[in-house]
Amino acid sequence: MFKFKNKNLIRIVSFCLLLLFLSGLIPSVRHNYLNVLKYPLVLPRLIGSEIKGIIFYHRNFIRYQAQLNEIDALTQRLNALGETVLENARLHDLLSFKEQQPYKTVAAWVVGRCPDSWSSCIIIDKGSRSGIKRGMPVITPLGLVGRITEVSRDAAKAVMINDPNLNVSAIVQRSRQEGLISGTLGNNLIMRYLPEEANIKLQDIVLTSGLNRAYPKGLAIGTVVDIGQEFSGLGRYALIKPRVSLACVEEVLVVIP
Amino acid sequence: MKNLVYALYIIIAGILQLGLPGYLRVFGVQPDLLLALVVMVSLRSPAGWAVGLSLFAGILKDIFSVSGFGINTLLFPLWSIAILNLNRKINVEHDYLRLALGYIIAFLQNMFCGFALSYSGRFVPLGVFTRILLLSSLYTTVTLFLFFRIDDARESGQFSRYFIPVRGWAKKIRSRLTSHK
Repeated sequence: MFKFKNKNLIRIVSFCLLLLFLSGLIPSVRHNYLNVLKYPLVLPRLIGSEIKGIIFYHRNFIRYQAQLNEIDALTQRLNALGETVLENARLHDLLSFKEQQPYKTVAAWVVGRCPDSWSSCIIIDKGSRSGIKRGMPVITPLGLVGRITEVSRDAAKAVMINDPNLNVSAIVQRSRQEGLISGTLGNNLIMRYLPEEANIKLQDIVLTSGLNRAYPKGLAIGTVVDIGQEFSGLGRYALIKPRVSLACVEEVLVVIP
Repeated sequence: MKNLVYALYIIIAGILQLGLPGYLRVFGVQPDLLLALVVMVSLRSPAGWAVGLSLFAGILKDIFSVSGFGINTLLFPLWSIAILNLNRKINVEHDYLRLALGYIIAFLQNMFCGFALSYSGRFVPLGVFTRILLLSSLYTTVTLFLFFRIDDARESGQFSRYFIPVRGWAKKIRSRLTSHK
């Protein structure tokens, strides 16, 4: 009896020792086991969910349709909110810019654009009733946009700086080099009548010179992106990338001197 | 009635060209919807109406453009007269012929506008000039094709079937209102 008990004890103790050994060993190999066992464990779950899917197909389909509708509605709402946020930020910038300026400005919405490809102009929703007159500069917080050419009671037309009909007297901010900027109908403006020895470099910032008093001095126009020789050989020209994205300007300020 | 519909087309095209040029722009050029309508009207209307509507379209375009003088007011009726004369001499009924005619007219219109700008001392780079000259004309021709299709659909009565139920509802409402009285 005692012998039997002793044998049992040995077995129990050796089993406990084995368990102890395994318990010590298992944490170090747990990750590998988990990785290996994951797939067979997931398989029954997948089969179960597929069977459930087949059984509850109709209910799921109805729910799916409802959720699709909800997603559409939420996406639409999100887009509308995003537009409002962007508009709010633009108007905030415009307002803070307006407060900083020494001259009086009138804010206006762009309601229309030029109907042909040979000119570049905008139609704004403010006119002579808001104090706007012919020749007034049109700006945004980023820089110069153009100049008012026609005014009616509640609307006005402004030629943009990328129109060839508009010339702006400008200076290079770094070197104070003067030149005349005109539009090209393309993405860039051209600064002409630069002498051969003109001190102008790429990435120079170009501002309004304020020489003919048509535009306030120091309004940003753009950045120099290319410099070349005039066809006549008498001088140089510089291509200016406008600071304002003229194709998508939505709100503007008309400067009232 | 047809000519009044064309006048309505011109007004709608004018509004679209003014209000949505950003959406219509491809490679920096936009189609001349009004010119496309002038070509269509000249091919499908009697002479008097065609010239009158072309003049109206030209005035509408010039009101909102920047050019120093009414170049479109001048050119649009001239194109209309040219098309009317051509239509009397040769048959311009085939689609390809109409589109070729549209392209030539748009090309000439753009060429005149471009030269008028260049000769007035304004600087237009050759690349921009060529792009507007070729692409804008092509784009105008594409819109001309669309206008022909829309007008064909209107003439064959495909649009009116959408209005028949509306007419029916209107009749019902009117009869109910009169019976209440």
